[in-house]
Amino acid sequence: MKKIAILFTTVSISFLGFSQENSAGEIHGDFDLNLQSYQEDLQIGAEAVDEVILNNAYLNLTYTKGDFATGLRYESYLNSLADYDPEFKGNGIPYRYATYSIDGLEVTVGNYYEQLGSGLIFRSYEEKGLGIDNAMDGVKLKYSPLQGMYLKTFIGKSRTHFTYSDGIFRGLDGELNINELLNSEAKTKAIIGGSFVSRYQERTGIVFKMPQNVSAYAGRLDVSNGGWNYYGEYAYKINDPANIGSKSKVNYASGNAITQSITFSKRGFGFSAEMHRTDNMTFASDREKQTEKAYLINYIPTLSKPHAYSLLALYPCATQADGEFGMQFDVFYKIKKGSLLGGKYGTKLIFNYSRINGLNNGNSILNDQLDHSPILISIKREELYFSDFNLEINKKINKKIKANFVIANQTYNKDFLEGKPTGDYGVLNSTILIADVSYKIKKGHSIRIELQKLNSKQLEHAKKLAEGDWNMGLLEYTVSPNWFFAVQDMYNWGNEDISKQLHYVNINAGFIKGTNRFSVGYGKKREGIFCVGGVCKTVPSSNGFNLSISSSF
Amino acid sequence: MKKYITLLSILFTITACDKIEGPYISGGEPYVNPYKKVLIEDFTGHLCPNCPDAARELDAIHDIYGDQIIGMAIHVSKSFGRPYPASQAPNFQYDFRTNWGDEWDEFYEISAAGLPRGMVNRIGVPDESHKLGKDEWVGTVASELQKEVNFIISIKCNTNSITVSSTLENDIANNFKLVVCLTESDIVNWQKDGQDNIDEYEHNHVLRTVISDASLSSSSSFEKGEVIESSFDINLAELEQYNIDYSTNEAELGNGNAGGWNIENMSVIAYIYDNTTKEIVQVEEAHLMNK
Repeated sequence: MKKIAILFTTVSISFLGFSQENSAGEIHGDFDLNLQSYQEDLQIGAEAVDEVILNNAYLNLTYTKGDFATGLRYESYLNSLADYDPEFKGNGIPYRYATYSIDGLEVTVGNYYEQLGSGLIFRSYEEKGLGIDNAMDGVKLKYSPLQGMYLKTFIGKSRTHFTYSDGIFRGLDGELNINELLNSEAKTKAIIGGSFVSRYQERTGIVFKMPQNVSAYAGRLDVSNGGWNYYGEYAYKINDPANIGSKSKVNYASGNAITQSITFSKRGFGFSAEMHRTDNMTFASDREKQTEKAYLINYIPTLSKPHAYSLLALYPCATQADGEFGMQFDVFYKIKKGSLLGGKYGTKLIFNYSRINGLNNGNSILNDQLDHSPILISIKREELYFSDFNLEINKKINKKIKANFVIANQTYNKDFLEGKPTGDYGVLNSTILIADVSYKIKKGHSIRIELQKLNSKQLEHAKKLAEGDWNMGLLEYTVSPNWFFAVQDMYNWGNEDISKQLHYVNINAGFIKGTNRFSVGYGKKREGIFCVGGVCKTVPSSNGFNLSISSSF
Repeated sequence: MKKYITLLSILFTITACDKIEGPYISGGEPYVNPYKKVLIEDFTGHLCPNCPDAARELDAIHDIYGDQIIGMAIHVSKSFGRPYPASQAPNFQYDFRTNWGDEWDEFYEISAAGLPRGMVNRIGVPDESHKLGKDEWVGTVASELQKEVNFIISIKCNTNSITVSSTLENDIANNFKLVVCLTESDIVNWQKDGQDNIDEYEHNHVLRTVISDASLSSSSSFEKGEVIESSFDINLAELEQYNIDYSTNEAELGNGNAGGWNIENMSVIAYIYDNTTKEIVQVEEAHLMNK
């Protein structure tokens, strides 16, 4: 508390000099508020909350002066929104830090975020949309002893809600930029890196032998030449069993992950091919909490395209750190202006395909009763988790009209990805069509219409009724730069349960002035899965008003 | 500098890895006192989506240690334990809560810390470390099972009376209390489980009623070999009606739908606890119909 008071004093003193010409440094901040009311709606299964309204709010303050910076974040959950983990409860300042750099050394104490490589063994980050914040609390050092050599090391504990989990993390990362190191102007550029992280957690329980220090390491290579780029990373984690009381379930197998991508781009054309394989790579800040999102400390980048259109994102893919094999291909091509298909402004084509399946007989497991390691590459015969084939056509028709069309086919293993009993819903296959047209009425006034259609079928007989087909329509009117209005309806007309053939209507209006943004809305949300970067949360159905305010200075 | 990095990496690698080789079970077979029994009080609610995971953990621990583990599911809290309004029938219409469950929950502040959560022999009450997440149960169970016992409990019962005999294994002096209660298993009713609403969920060892929570003896010093007999007459219909009345009149958002007891599936649980530390020092369970 004392520390917080000192920090506040520091910030407040700085704030006094804020609006003046200051050699005293600068202070910046941003504020975000999300308020939602919840009322009972038996049709969609939405529950009222005892508090009537729930509210999340945040304020970030940062003070900088030269190479010194300090900041904090005030968070308020009174009580947290229904799609948030209820452990976020109350008010507090869970994030505060101070940092300075001098002669190539950067010192940070307090809270910090950090990522090693692509995050396979360690990623500390926040994602408000998902309710994830695993900020570290401790000490972090960065040092560049030579041109092209970057070292960082840290020690700390990881945040879970308003407290810190038991594990203590020690990390080290080194990166060599070969071209910088050799002062080379060569066309081929290469960066190699290695990282190491170890979690200490006191041994508890006496049934099984528990490792107190669990380490993971990774090596990476990034090579580029002209429009080509290759990135590869391999990670390994030693035995990291959860202390579960079952001889056949406790798992002492090591974990590993590999991710590789190759991309090429030039004017008007680009492609990328990516693959990854993960086996037993869930890494948590508490060995007992490996299934809880709030405790995850590593990140496996997703191999499916993040979609913004509602019906394309209706069945999103959650990355399985425990075990999956996936691949993704993207091609971008711009048909030239003036050609038959390109028209006056050219036409952009964006193709994407991804496919993710399970490992051969599941992930590695090792205990006194079982010893299984899946074969390295196995695709066709394995359980399909997700596939997505989509083509996007982006076309400016004239000065006033722009259009975007998408056709997609997705396969979604609902039982597996949503943790349902096998056979409840089975595997869904959906074909999705989208038309998104913007029309500029006059200066500052534009209208946008989105029409979406999803036809879905269960690929096998399932015990429970399927959601079936959806239509969606959106009308958005923008008066730049201050106002926007939108009305949207998602209609689940093909639900096999006739009582659930419902409309989910949402209306929104917003006002923007300077750095302040206000928006109000009312509507119904369907129960579903929401993902950012392959990390997902379940969202309960809801019916109510919402208010959102954001501001910065 | 490179040498320094290499050295640092090696140092990290050596000091920061605990590679475990099999057999993985600790020391072969850890010592378990065959006379010691452990009560796991699983605070739960039919609207609590993560609570079935705790019930499964309790089953897993029972699988390891057998009948030395006695479970009790205590449905509590307005958020997770209340029945749905009649307008949402047939979903979640039953009220599993009891007067005693709600009182214990308030006293030990369990649901306030978030469900599922439980107590293992009520260890840790003095320093407030008693509110254990399900993954912490097995560790406490293992250490509890190593403890020596001062009491052996035996239960004789039928649908009209219960007799609990507590036999002293050592000379001791302390202030102990005896609790006698009834639980019921195989109750098929609604339960949230993750995102699913399960309509035929099997609820086991659900606390139904507490028959007594009183001093074990008028004396606080006990001699080895001494047997303390405690007898209780019971009227199941009255006890059931008490729950119905509690749900109707006192439980928050209760609906009185708390009856329908099936004596075929009921058990008696008797335990002795230290009235100062609240630690349960011994516990026993018997089927009400002596099955």
